[in-house]
Amino acid sequence: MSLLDMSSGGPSLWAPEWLPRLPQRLVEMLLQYFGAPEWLVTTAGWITAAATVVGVFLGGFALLSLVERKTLARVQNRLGPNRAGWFGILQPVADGIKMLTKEDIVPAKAEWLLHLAAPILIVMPSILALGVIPYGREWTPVPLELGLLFFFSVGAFTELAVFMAGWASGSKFPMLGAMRAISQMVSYELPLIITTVGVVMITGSLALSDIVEHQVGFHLGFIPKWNIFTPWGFSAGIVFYIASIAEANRCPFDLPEGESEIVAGHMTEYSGFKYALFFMGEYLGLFAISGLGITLFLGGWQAPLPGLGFVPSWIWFFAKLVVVIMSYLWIRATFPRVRIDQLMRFAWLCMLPMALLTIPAAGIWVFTANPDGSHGILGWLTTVPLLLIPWIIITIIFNRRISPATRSYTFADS
Amino acid sequence: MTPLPLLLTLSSLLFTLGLFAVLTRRNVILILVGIELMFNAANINFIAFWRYGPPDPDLIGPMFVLFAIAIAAAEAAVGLAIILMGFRHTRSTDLNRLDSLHG
Amino acid sequence: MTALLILSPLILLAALGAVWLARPVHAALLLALTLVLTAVYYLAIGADFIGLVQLMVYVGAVAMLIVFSLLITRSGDEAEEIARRPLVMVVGLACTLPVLLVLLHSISRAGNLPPGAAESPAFSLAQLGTALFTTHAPAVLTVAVLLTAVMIGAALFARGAHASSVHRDASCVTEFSSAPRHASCLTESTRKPPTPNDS
Repeated sequence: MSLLDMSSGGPSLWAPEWLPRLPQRLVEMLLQYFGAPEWLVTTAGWITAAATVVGVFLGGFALLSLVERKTLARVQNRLGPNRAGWFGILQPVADGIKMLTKEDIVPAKAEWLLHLAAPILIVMPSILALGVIPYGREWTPVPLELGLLFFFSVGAFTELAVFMAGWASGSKFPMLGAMRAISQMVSYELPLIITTVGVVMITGSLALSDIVEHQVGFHLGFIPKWNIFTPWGFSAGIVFYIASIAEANRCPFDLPEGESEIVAGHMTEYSGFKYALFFMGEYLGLFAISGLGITLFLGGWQAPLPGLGFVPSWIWFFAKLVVVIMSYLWIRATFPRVRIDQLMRFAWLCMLPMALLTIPAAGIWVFTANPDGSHGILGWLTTVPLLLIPWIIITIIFNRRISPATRSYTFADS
Repeated sequence: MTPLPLLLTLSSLLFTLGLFAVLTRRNVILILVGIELMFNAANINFIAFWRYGPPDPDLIGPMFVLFAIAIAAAEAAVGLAIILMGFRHTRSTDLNRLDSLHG
Repeated sequence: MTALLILSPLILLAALGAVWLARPVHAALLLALTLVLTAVYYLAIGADFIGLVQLMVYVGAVAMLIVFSLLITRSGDEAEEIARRPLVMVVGLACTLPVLLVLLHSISRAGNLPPGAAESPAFSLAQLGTALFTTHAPAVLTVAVLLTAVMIGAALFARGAHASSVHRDASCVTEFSSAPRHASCLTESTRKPPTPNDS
């Protein structure tokens, strides 16, 4: 509805800011031209907007699958895929054709209904979650009042889908992979959600567009007022970043797949298009969780420096998305995989306390604010020690606890 | 016509189903499933009376549901911790095998 | 009303499956489906926040806990044959049917309820938050204490189990070093009965 209002007084349809909503607007204009009823126009507009987002991110999925392989190859001093098309650019197409034409195998001991439902259920939440993120000043596909809550609510289905995949396959490796995946996702979802509480406290709203609007402006004329540039936001941002890597099952937390240990985890018994769906869900979830992190801590679609407002806002969002995802690739290329006990201990002994500490820090930050909303020295003097001292203590304890200890294998060597 | 009687019938059927599960199941975890069903039935009642009952400006109905959800989560966590402790001792989740009190 | 007419048979069917199906994993998944459908109904009648919280907590936490403990205890595949004994069924029905009849009877007698002509409007998040932290602040504090206690309790359970298993291993090791191939060590490691789904 706001879109229809904007057509009268807002920027022109062809402004770069409106480019991502062009398909939606065109469909609506076309339907209005043919005299379609109001509800049909609105519904078709929503569907087109959703399809635009899905299309953009499916393209991003294809591109990322190539970029990831190329980047990893360069880090490991290889060339990577370079046969299909110029510079290997057609490799995603070749992969897609291969996946689509592979035989779809359902094991004899599998429960076919759950086995079929799991890949669908794993893609659906990622797509739903992508729908509430504000990509640009004028481009939030579904502006929900409870956007943040919606994001995490639909995320709950991912765990269920992983369990269904692991259990319905009726085999050992999927079961082990599902157990690892569920325990990891439950453990890291806790700090992930708790770190967002601070942002919600500061903003006073669960709507993601409000959270972005709250980060408008610059300190001292050049430092953006993003949440990451506050003490509590910095701590919460780091915790959120690590937890999002674990939620997306990326290296170094890719134990659920663990190719060298349990074949492919919960995806072992899948082939063909269903296997591709798992990967699609994983990459779309990666986009969604990084998009949420950008929205919460990195100022969403806002320009990083003053005077850059002439660039369309959604370009800034996708630029930040590229930076975050490339950092994921960098981490994947350089870190070894952690062990499951290290993973769990890290979640409960490091991530959870640090995530919980951001809540009082954010509260103090609100209460020490000046009446005009700026923050004096008092806020920094109270929140920085509150976060820094536990961080140092936890680091020291944790380093002591996980440093290599002498282990005796009593049964293995006899 | 107000859908209140229909909602109440639905919730009482759900409650009865949950009770039946608690009474007849032998696996402790499935008894927990029945308990969750009964919680859910009570929540449906709260929401139904908030929505279709007398005016509720203080949002007592949704409040009750929020707290019931919080308590159900806590109850499930502790219940499952106890079940796992029992499982470590007896290697079973069968209620008929959890009848001895010594570790 | 339409949402209720569509959703209530589905909710009932899913709950019936959760109660009746023999394999525990199916029952747990159908419990999750029941809770999801209930959340959808909450969303449909304007209790958005409650519906989303129900999805997040029940599906994301409670159903996952149940499913996960089924995985850990390896009881996900054990069909409950004995529970289908006629005697159990009869006793169960004899206990539950009166409850159902009393409930239905009281619903049918409740003609003197205030007329629900004015449906309560959907509430905003600000309204809910204000009510939560003014009128119901003591309850919030109580729940906070409860959740903290639960967290500590669950951690103690887990820690206690861990400590006892370490202790058992340690005692085993010492016995092993003093007397190689000591019987108790071997029984300790092989005492677990074979799990039923190891076929």
